[in-house]
Amino acid sequence: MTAVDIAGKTPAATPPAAPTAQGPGRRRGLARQLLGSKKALSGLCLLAVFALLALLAPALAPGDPSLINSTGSQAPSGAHWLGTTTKGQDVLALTLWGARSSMFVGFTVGLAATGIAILVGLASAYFGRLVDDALTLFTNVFLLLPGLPLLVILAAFLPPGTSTVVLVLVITGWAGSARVLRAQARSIRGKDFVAAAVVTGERPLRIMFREILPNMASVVMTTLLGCVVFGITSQAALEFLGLGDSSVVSWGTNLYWASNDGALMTGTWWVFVPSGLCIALVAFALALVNYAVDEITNPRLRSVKRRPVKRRG
Amino acid sequence: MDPVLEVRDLRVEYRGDGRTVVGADNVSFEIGAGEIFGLAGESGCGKSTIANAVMRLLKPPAEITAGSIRFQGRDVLALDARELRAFRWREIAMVFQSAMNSLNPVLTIGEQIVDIFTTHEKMKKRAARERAGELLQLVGIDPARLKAYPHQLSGGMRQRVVIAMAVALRPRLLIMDEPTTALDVVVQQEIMAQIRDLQRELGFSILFITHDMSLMVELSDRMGVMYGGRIVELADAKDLFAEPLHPYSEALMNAFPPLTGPRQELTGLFDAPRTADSCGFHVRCPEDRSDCSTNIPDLREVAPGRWVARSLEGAPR
Amino acid sequence: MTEALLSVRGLTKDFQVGTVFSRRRVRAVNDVSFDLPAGRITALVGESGSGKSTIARCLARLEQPTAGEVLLDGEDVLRTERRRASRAYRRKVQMVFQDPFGSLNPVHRIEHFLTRALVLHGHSATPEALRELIETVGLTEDMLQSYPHELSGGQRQRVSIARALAVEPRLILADEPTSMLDVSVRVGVLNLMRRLRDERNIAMLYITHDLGSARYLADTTMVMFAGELVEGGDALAVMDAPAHPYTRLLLSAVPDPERAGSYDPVERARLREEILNPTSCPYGDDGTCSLTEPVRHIVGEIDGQPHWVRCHLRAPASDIARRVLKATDRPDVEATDDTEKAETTAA
Repeated sequence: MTAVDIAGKTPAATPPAAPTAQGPGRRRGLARQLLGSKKALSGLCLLAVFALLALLAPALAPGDPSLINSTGSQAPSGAHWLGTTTKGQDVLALTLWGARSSMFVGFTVGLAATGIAILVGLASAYFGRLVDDALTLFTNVFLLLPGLPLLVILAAFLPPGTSTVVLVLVITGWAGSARVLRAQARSIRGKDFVAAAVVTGERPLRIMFREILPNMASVVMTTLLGCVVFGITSQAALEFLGLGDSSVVSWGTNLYWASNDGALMTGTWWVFVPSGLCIALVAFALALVNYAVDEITNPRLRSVKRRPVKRRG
Repeated sequence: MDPVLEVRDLRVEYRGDGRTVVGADNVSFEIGAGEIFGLAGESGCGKSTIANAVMRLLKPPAEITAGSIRFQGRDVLALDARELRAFRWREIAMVFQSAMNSLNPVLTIGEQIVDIFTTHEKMKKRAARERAGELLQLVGIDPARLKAYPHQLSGGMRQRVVIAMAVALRPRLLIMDEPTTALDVVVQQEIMAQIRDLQRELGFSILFITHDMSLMVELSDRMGVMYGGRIVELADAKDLFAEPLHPYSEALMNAFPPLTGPRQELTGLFDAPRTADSCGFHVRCPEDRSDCSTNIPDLREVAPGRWVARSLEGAPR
Repeated sequence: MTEALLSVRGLTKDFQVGTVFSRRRVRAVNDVSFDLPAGRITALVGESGSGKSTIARCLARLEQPTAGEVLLDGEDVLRTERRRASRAYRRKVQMVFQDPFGSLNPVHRIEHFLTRALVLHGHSATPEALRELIETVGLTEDMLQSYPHELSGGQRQRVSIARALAVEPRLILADEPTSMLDVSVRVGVLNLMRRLRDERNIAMLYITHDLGSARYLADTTMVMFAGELVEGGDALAVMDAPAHPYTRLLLSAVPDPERAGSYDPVERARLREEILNPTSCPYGDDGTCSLTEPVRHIVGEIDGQPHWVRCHLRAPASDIARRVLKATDRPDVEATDDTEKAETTAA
C-alpha cells in the first residue's frame, strides 16, 4: 500500500448522513469507464463510422461498383472523388462496398477465433491435468500447421465464397490466441480469490466465466484486435493470391486488382491507397480501444500530467 | 563530530492524476557514526519513501519538494550523476525489501559479488574473487558456495549474500528496508545476530526500517515512529518501548500479544484507511475536531533526546 | 471434553516437484492426526514449509490428500465425497485466506461476494441479511458498494470473514489471516475471531507462524515441524512449558525486547542437535519410547485437555527437517525451499 492509495479512498469514518460520493471512475463498471475514456471513445467512433459506411454503401454508391466501362484510369476529380481504376470503376464506390465484406469477414473471424480461444484457454486453465494436456496438444497441432499452405489447400478444395474464407481463417487463426489466453487464465487460476470461490461452493462454469474471464479483459481485447486484423488482412492476402472469390468486392480484392493493373508502376496511387488506409484505420481504432482497456484495468499505465516542481526551503 | 546522516524537514510528494499526495512531510532526524537508527511504522507511513529519498532512488511521480539531506556534511540532493554513482554503494548501501528474491537467477552469486568489485573498484577478476570469498566468510557462508546459483540457497542464505553485497565496499551507512520480513522467525534471529556482529566489526551506521516493533527495539539504539508521512515520536529505543508518549506509538507497542504473563484483551487501531478527513484512529470522528489527529504537529523536545509530536496542552487524542 | 467436530487421522500429502527429467516427491505432510473440537479455536503453529498451509488446503478440499482420513461428524469425507466436496461440506467448513489483496476478486463489489455465499447455500440475499453480515464483522453498510481496492487490508480480511460466515459454518480454517496485515490492525481481526467463537460457537483452525498471536487467541495449540506434529495441548501450557526442543527453539527465536541477550548460539546448536539426532527422551520412564512409532507422551493435563509431546527419540522422517535446520549456518548442505515451492506450484 503506497501513500498514493491512502488519500484516494473514500473514508469509512464520516458520519453516515450523506451517501459517500462517487470517486471518479472508481465505482463504475468497465463498460461505463470505457465510454468515459477519450481513447476508447475515439476508437469506437471510428469503428462506428466504418460500420455505418459499410451499411450505407448501397445507398451512398448505388449500382454495381465492379462494372467495367471504358473510362480508364482517372485521377480524383469532381465526378469521381477518389478517381477511377483502369477498368473505369469508381474507387470511392469500391472502397465503400469493400467495407461491407472486409468488416464482416474481419469481425466475424475476430469474434469467432477469440471465442474459441477463450473457451479452450479457460477450460485448459481451470481443469488442468488431462484436459489441459489434451487441449494443449490440440492447440499445438493447429499452431504448427503451416498457415499459408493450409489456407491455399483448403481454399482450393472448398467451394469458393465468403463463408469458406471465414471458416478457413477461423481454423487457422484461433490457436495462437488460445496459447496466450491459456497462459493468462492459468496465472489467474492460481490466485486466492479463485480458491475462495471454489470453497464458497461456486460451480466450475461460473468460476471460469464470472471470476476468471473478467480479469482477462485486457488480454482478450488484445486478442480480439489481433484476430480482426488477421481476418481482414488474411482475406486480402487470400484474394491477393487469387484464391478467394475474386468477384467479391473487398478491400483485399481492391488491392489485388490494383496490383494486377500495375497501379504502383503507373503511379495511380488513388487506386490502392484508400483500401490500404481503411485497413490501417480499423486496426488503429481497435488499438485505441485496446489501450483504453489496458489503462482502465491497470492504473499504473495512466499518464501523469507533469507540473513544474516548486522547491521550498 | 558530524552526524553520518542528517535529514532536515524533508518533504516528498507523489503527483498524479490531478491530485498530489504527500508521502513524507517535515521529516527530520540524525544518525551518528556507528549508531543503529530504526524507523518504525506501518505500510504507507512513508518510511520506505524516506529510505529511497536518501539514496536518491525516487522516481516520478515521487519528487522531493522540500528539505535537505546531508551525508557527512555533503549535500546529497546537489550531487550530479557522476558523484551520485560514486556515492552509492561506497558511502551508502541499501538492502531492499525481499532483496533475496532479486538476485539475478542466471548468474552465480560469486559472479554477482565479483561484479561489484570489478565495477566500483576496477579490480582484476582474481583479486575480486578472493575478496568475494572473504566477504562470504564474513557473513558466515562457506566460500565454496561462490559457485552456487541463487535458487540453490535457502532464503536465509540468500539474505546473507545480499547483506554481504551491501557491505562489500565498506559503506559508512547501511539502509535496511524490512530485511527479515520474508524469513522465518528462527532464521530471522540468525540474520539479526549476523548484522549485529558485522556492525560491531565494521563500524557502520544502520538505518533500519521495519514494521516489527519488537525486532526494532531489540536492535536499535534510537528510533523514530512514523505515521501519515510524519515522525510522531523520536527517542532512545528502550525509552520509547518502556514509555511511549504519543498515542500512536503506544498503540503500536501494545499491538503485540505478549509471550508471557496472563492473557489480556488488547485493542488495536481501527483500520480505516487514512484520508484527508479521517485519521483512522476512531470509528467515528468526534464532534469536537479541534484536537484532531489529522493535523500532526511538529516534533517538540519534551526531554533531552525525546521528541514527541503533541500539542502543548498534551491532551490525549 | 468437548466432542470433536472434525478429526484428522494419518493425513499425508506428497507433491511432485521438478521437470519431466527430474521428478521428485516432496512429502509436505506426514501422518498427521488431530481433533478439532466444536466451538474452540485451535492454533497450528509452524514455520513456512512446515506443511501447515497444506493441511488447511486439504481440509478445505482444495487439495487431494495422498493418504489419511478426514472425519466430519464421524464420517470420512475423503471416502464419501471422493472427487469433489459436496455443498453440505462447504456449508460446514469454510476458509479465510492469507492474502487480503488476493483473496477478493478485484472486478466484483463487496456485495457480490456476500450475495453469492448466501445464495449458493439457500439463504436469500436480502438487504437486511447483507447489512447484518457486514456489521457483524465491524464494517459499515456503504462498503457493500465498494470494490476491494478501495478498502484497507484489514477491512478486506473482515470481508473475507463475512463471506465465510454467510454460509453459517461450523468450522472456519484461517490460514495466516493476519500475517499480511499491519501490526496495529491485527489485534482487531483477532478479537473479531474470538468474538465469533464466543457468540456463534464456531470452531476455528488458526494457522500462523506468530506464537504471540496463537497464545492470545487459541484454546489449544499444536506445533508443526517438517510436516509432522511435534507437540500439542492447552495454548498457555505449551508456550509456558514447552516440552519439545523445536518448540523451545521457536520460542527462543521470537524477538522480545524485554528479554535481554536472547540469542545464545550455544543453546541454539544444542537444541538443533536434539531435534535432528536425538539420543534420549526425558519422558520415556514408562518404557513407551519408540524409534519407529510416532508415540506421544502425555506431560500434563489442563481441564481435561492433555499436553502431549512426540517421543524425542523419533527424529523427523522428512529430510526437509535436516535442510531447514542445517542450512541456516552449516552451508555444506544444499538447501531449497522445496515444500514452499511445491505448495505454490500446485495451487
